[in-house]
Amino acid sequence: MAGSKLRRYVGQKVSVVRWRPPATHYGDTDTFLTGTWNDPENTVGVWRTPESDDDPVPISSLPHQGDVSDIQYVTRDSFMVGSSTGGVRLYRHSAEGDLEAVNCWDKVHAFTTGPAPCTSLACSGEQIASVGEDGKLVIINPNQKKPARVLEGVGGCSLYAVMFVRTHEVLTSSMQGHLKLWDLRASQTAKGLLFSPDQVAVCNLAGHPTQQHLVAAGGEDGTLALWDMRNTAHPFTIIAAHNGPVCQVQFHPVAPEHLFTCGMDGQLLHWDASASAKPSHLSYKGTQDLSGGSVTVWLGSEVSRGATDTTCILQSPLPINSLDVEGATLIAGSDNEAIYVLGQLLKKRIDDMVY
Amino acid sequence: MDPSNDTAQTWQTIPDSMMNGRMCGKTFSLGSIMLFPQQEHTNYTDMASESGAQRTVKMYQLEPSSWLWGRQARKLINESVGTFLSLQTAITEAEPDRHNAVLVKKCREYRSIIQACQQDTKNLQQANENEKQNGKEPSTQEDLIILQDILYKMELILSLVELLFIDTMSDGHLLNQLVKWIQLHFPQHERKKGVVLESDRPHLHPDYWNTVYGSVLQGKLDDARLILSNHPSADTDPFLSIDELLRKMPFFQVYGGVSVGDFEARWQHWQSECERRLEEGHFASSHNLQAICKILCGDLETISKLMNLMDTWYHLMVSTLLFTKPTVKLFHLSNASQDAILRMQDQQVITALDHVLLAAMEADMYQVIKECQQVMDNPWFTTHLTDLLYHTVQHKGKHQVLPPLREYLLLDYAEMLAGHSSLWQVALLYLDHCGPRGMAMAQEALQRLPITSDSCAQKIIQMASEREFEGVVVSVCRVMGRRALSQGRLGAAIWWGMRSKDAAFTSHVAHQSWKKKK
Repeated sequence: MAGSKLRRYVGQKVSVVRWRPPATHYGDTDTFLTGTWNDPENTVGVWRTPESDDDPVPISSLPHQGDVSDIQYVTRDSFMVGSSTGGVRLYRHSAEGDLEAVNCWDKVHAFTTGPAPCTSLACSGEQIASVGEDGKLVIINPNQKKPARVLEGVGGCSLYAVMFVRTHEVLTSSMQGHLKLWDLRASQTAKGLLFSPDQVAVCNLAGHPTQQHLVAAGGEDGTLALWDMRNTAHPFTIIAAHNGPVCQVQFHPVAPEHLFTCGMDGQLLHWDASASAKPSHLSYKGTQDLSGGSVTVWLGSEVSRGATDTTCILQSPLPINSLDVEGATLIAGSDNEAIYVLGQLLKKRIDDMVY
Repeated sequence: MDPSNDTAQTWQTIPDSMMNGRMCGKTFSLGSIMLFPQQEHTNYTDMASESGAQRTVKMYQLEPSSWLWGRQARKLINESVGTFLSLQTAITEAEPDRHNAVLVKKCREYRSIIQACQQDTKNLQQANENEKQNGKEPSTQEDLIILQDILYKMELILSLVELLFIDTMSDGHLLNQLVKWIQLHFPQHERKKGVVLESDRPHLHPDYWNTVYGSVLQGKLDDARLILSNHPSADTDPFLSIDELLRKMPFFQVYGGVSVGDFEARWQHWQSECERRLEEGHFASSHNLQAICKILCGDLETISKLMNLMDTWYHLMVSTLLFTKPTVKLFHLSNASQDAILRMQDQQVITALDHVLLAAMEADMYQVIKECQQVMDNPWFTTHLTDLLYHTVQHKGKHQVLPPLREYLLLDYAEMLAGHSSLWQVALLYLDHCGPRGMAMAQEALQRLPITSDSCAQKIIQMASEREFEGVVVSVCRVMGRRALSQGRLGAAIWWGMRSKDAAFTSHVAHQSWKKKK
């Protein structure tokens, strides 16, 4: 998998990078956002990658109070930014390429003694879920001024990651390693899951784009766990991945047998399970399904043995905080004050996908 | 830090009436000072009178600022740490005879980092110029100009050090590289050439002859010939004659297969041909062409007369050497530089930059480093330069002063970084290469960092465990646990307590949570 690798130094530590969703489902996107942290003047910036293999170009930026902890797109033009001051803000791309603030919810997360950082955001339709170090899961509707629901956890532990499994089901992970599934239609949690007896914190969650029961979780001890939500007694497999906490896990949206993880040890790993893709004997009418990501490739015996093709595609001396992949290009941001743009990943695979 | 540096004496007044006469300060964190007013002494009999406590008391944190913290220059820090780390690993892995190639490559990387920053700053300056109506403060433009100046100087020094000390491929015959160095850093003749050639009648352009002289003095003989060919009398004898001389000037190639003795003979032959033609009056018709020929003959008086085209003594020195001593080696430079300075005495003041370059010409590495420290207000440049020089001479094993000097400078630089709110991670990367004192400082620095969130704590713990600083890990966990306890978050407090492996603390927290549950 040859590809181009660009690194651009930006003068601030980058905590989040996020691609803007493409205009059409199979189109390309060339705009992405960055959020910074640990700077007296943190910013949310808009960047564009030019057609040629040049460095990304900054388009505009907006100052931000506190560290940027997460950015998630709600629609193609509007996105939410979570801050370490405990607030969540909604912004929009204007026609000229600038950013405008649309709405803000301050003090969504707070300790009894002061503000608590918001750690992660997730979006599904018109609902935004936000979790923070105060242990609360807050559901926000972008059109309303006040949060729609506030769900308190018990035990006073920080929540580190959140994702929507279905439109009304939210999965959160905590510092104690508990994965909790919440049903928003009911008023109570559906189930509680235990990650590992050592109480290893789960720092990030990622959902498989097509198989909703498959969840990948990155742990604080550098392990990658794959969960099958239909069998919640224990994770399907735990693979030792990084030498430090995993910062972000992401499945490739179009080629989901490829998984990317980045961690505080400064490595960005590409997990390729396509080699072990074989016809699933569980598929309907026994049809052979070789392309499009075999149904259970991540839950197959090869992966559970740890036999995936793993390559380290990026090595930085300082933690890589965030990554996002769209089409054939991956962007990553690190504490090295650099943005990385890796192009032409999986080129052959993406070409196969176009039909 | 450096008492001889005049710019260090700036005074700052604190705009707070509470401070008048009562200001007190304490060093805080690494490198900043906390200022606060002393409490008033109240007389016992005056208790009822208005007390200072009713007015708000502010504390001020004074931090040293530096051009390095600006938005543009900040990128230098992270780029250079990457080059620094790769240099350390490359040197240890390379075989001894490949060391030089590695060092030259890394030196060029540093130079390209500085050049990239120069380019960025220039683009920003132009963008600011275009946006002048936006009301940008003039101070940002000034800052950019100052930054450009500093970057130019650093690149100048670094490229000279590279060709004098680090790049030994040319076996000591420096002239070609010195000429290239001058050509790179004095591009004004290149620009003028473009202007002159594009004008309607080049030979009537006021800068025409100056450009020709300038090109000859910089060794750009092809350029000079090109400009001369635009003269209407280019077909006449004098012009053809000078063209031939310019074309035939020999340049020494190290691997050209010609020995030094042969080259010298050829060069003498060529120069005596120039002298012969001059004496025979080939150029009597044009005093300009005569001047060119005199330059080619190495006539010091003519070259000195054109001093205004050369701006600096080092340009003068290289131009003189080009036409008087083409086989110059490092040990000749000391005399040549003194000579050039004397000749240029009336036209310029010796600046700190000149001291650095002079020290380089004298082949005195320590003096170069020392002079650099005088010029720069922060150790960024000096540290990386010393590291390069240390690796250059390390395998020779002779030098006693350079290793501790390098370590001292690295510690100094790392300390400055560690005091910055966000560059502490880079500081730790440097401290890894500073021996036991570096380890000690790293532990101290890690323990004094403000922990703003869980992920920040995890990053500190990650860096500490990579370096096996168990004490720091325990300490950070205790701080987080204590904080969680005070916020009433008992689950988190127990979790941090377990991480800290501090049995007493964990049991205390457990006891608290049990009490709460009762």
